[in-house]
Amino acid sequence: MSQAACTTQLIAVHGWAGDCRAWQPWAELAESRGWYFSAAERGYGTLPPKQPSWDPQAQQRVVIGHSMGPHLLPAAVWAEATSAVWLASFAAFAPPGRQGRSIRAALQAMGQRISSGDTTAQLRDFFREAAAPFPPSALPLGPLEQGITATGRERLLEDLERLANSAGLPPGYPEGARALIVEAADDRIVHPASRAALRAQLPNAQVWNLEPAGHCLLDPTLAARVVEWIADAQP
Amino acid sequence: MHATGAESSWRAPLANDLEQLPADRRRQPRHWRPAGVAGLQNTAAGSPALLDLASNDYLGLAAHPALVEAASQAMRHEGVGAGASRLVSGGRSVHAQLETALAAWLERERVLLFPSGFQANLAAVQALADRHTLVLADRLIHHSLLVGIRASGARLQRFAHNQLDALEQRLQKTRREQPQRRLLVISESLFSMEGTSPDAERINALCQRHNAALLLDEAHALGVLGPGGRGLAYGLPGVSLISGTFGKAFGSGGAFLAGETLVGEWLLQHSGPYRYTTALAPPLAAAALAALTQIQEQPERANQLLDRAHRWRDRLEAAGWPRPPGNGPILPLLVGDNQRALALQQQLEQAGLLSVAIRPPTVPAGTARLRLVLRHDLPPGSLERLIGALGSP
Repeated sequence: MSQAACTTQLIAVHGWAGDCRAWQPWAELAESRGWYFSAAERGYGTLPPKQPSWDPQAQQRVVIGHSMGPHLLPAAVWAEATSAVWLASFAAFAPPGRQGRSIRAALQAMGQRISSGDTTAQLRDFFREAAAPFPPSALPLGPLEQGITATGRERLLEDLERLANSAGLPPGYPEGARALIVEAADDRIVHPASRAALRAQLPNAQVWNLEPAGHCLLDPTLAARVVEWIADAQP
Repeated sequence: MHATGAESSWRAPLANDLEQLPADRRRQPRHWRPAGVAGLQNTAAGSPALLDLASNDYLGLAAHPALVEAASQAMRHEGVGAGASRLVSGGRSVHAQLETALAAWLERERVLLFPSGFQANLAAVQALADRHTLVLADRLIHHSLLVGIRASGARLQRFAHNQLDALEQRLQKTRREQPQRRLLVISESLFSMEGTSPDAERINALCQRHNAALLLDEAHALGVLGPGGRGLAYGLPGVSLISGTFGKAFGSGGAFLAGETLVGEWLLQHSGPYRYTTALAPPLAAAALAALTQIQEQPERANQLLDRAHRWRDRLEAAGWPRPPGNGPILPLLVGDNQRALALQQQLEQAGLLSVAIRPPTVPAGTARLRLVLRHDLPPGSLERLIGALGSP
């Protein structure tokens, strides 16, 4: 399948401390339909950073973002998207008020551990919470297995700031884009108030609530179901 | 007190036997608790949760809310245990419901429940064989079937694993020499340690042609293989008895035999393993019934599992490992040496994955293996993690 013949393109973006390899099953499903698939890479581990762009031929342009992923895409990419899939994600990670203050404090504590050289242990703690109710070994291989580079560590810290400061839909988010929100019933990372706020910001979005499922949405059928949802709107 | 000569004499054979057991064949049970979805955690302090690539909970139903709720309700209303055998006062309505539902699903006339698969297999062999019978059995059938054959007094001949030409030759020879002899053929739909399946249609045809009874143990196949998970015996009228369990894909416990009315009635009137045992615990029966509903309502689970098993075989082979035989969710990774199999098991555990090394006498000497088992609810990326943890072949 040549890229030029694609009418549907997916751009996927991983979340904090993740990497693009987690999208492999999604890529295979998309490619089996003749769609073009590209995954952004933040570069926390040894993989080089990558920021995909849209193919001019693509008519249906779908962003799939996990957790912080939607906030890592440039406004120019968002501006040309026709659909968005929000996986265990949020508009503002820290909700307003007392709950938000405790979340900001937790982010700050994470940053301090990373700054003090405790990166591996901090990430192991994070992945344990992100994987639950699955064991951490259920997570796809990620930057931790490769080793976090010095630059990667800086990016982790920078993105903790980004999380703390996230305050709405990402810049460039196209008004009227078709949207799907997939929530995890057992999410230990994204606060229920933050999930509710995203639903409120996207009142026309379709909402799925997966159970049992934690922040990393380790449901083996999810990718196929989302691909079906995307296919429903093909031109 | 262990001082008397008489006591020493009966202990001596046990002690001698244990002394002669090689260290790499000695087993120690470990204890686990479920840890979230598809996870198991050793109860030893500080043990991490491991991703389950070892259990037979193929469809991930053991902790399914529908099964848990059904078992809880049954326990509240019918008690934890049945308190007596089916023919005394242990029968409950849930037993009858489950038997009827299974019979309809499998399109068999009669189903009888048993507390365990081991008992069901003893009963099945005793129903179909006596001391005048010649039993032709696959070389790798389960231990319970061998015990049943021994108990029946039948003569046993084994044919090479899944080699149906060899079976046919034995059937032809026996019928030529002893046209009236009672014959029983025994095989399994999915061999637990091999991951392989026979050509069930051909076995069925051979048995019909040579007037032999056929017992097919579907313990590992039901819920996973065959149309809608109905096993490989589905639609094969020549299969005299199907043995099935609820402890694997059904996520519960207990077992059953399914066949025609005549065999069922014989079992009811004469089978010791059926008559003289406390009836299947009502919560287990209720959970099995709920599992059957799940399997019927979501047959795609089994198809997805089999598709995935195919991909895993391809990838393991591409990574340089011997391709695990068969098509089902059991993928034995043959390594040969006992110590190497144990080392691989430990290597995987350090990477957060639980798979068990299977060694002799469970499998023939020199064929130790890592028994990888897929569950429907394993998350995406599990295969990559496994390949990484296994390292180079």
